[in-house]
Amino acid sequence: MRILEIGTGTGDKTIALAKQLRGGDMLLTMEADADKAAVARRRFAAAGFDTQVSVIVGDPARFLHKLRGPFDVIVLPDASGLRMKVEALLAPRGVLIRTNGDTIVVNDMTITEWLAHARADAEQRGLPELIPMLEGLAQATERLRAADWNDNADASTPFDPDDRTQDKPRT
Amino acid sequence: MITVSEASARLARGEATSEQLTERCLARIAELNPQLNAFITVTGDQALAEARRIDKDIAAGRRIGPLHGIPLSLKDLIDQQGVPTTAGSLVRRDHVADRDAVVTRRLREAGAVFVGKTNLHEFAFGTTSDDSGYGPVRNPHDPTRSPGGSSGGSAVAVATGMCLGTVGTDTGGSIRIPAAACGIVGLKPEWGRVSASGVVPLSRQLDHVGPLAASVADAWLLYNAMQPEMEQIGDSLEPRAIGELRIGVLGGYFFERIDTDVENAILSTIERLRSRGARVTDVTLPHAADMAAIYLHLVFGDGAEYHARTLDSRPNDYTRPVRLRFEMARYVLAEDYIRAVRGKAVITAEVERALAGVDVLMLPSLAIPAPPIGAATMPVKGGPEAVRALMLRCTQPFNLSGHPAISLPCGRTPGGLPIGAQLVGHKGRTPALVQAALAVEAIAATS
Repeated sequence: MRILEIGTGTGDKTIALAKQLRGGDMLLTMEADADKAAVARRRFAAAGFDTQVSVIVGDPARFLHKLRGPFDVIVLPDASGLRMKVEALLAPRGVLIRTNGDTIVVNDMTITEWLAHARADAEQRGLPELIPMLEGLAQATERLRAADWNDNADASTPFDPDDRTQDKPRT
Repeated sequence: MITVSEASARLARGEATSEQLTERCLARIAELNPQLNAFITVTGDQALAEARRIDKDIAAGRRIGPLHGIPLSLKDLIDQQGVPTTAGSLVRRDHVADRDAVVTRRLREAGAVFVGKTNLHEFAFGTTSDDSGYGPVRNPHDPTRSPGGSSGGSAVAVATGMCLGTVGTDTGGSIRIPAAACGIVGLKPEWGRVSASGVVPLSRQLDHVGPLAASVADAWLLYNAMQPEMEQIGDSLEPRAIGELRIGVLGGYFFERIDTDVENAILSTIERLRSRGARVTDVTLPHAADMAAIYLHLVFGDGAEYHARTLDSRPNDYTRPVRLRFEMARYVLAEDYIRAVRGKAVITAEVERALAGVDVLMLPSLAIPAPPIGAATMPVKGGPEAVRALMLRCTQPFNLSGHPAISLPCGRTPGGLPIGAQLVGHKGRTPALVQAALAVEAIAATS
């Protein structure tokens, strides 16, 4: 398995990840701040992870394109603004983990997100023929979500003009 | 095609027996079924025994009505006691019905003879009747083409005289589409008018049970007998005077992606109705373009629920295309399903508004003539379009809205393929719809 982490810091999360690695797995972690990267590198060596974990020093916004994908897992700070670029490096069944400090960000239920999950699931279940079909369903779903009969919880309260239990307003 | 009405008159006059009528149907099945594959199960011996018993009753003066002794068939997702209900799927190959569906029982009580169970698109989940665990059904007008579906075998059986009338189901157009593609009449009753108990469901909120027959009068005879007894009106209706008929032509979306021969046939019929005094106005459904998405999510949600267990336990007993579509259905989210439920109410209100001030809506039943078996796309105005979308686009609004709708023959293409015109009536006024259809039938047939 190939894992990419964006934003090593001093390596706290990286060490937690590295503990889960099995033989043959590889973890690449990228840090823009050279001082932090040096600290992290020393800690990985002390913990005995230096053969499986490599630290790249550089700004991900500028050097991401130099990495060769695909990665099976990518860990990305949600505020990085790099999601699209990172998704291009993700394997077809890969998992993107978005973080905010120490918490994992819940994925938004956009059609793209739903479709990615559905595709990955179909692939995993041995039904790859479903993948192009799901795109058609996604288009229909998009249409439904854009329909003008949908209400929003922060907009006007639903009011049914055909409500037969309402009295006629007194004019 | 001999009609139920003609056969019934001959039985009443003693000029024919139920046994003769049944034998004739069985002979047609023996002759044509190997090629057309309209029947999954033929109950010939049972049917003949029943016909002979009925002939004795009729000879003894105990004729009970116009369907007494008439050979009919049932789409093979409708239960007939002691006979398999396969739903066109190997998933149900070992099933034997332990009792009659309500609709079967009513027709049996009206004296019908059942000659067999007709082939269909597997679990009614398709409009072409080629994906069936028992092989594709073929169109008698051109055996390289689909008879439409999902009640494809039913329509072929009536069109070729393998039975005189039949019972189908219609979730998005499955009675009206094959009726149009095979040149016969198909009536989708108002939702809930004919019991669906004992019928394998696709989507219970969209499923309708109704007749396919050789004429509008026959469709009425069958429909009348399918209803609860207290709601049965009479065996025949008078055609509406064309000069009194107010027709709302449903334009826009329904004439945008359409075969030009079909379009010409429908428009020329409308012109002839107008020239004979019918009042014709143009009406629209503002959300017509959202219908397919609404329909898809409802059928998917409902279908996924019914099939979940067997998709997991015996996936390989489904035909591959139907299995994949049900599997795809399992990815629909609850929130999107609810958007579709709300969309269904929007469409229903719009159909009501379109009907305000007219007696019937008129539009094509099927945007294209019968497509070649296995075709993915068909040429229509504006370029090629997916067959699945084309098959459903004129019929599915009235499954969403629940209004009664009927397809009747409206001439042929230059290549000889049947075309169907559709009339849609008010809820609670199916007899008025049938009276309008009786009037339009005579005009449309000469397209």
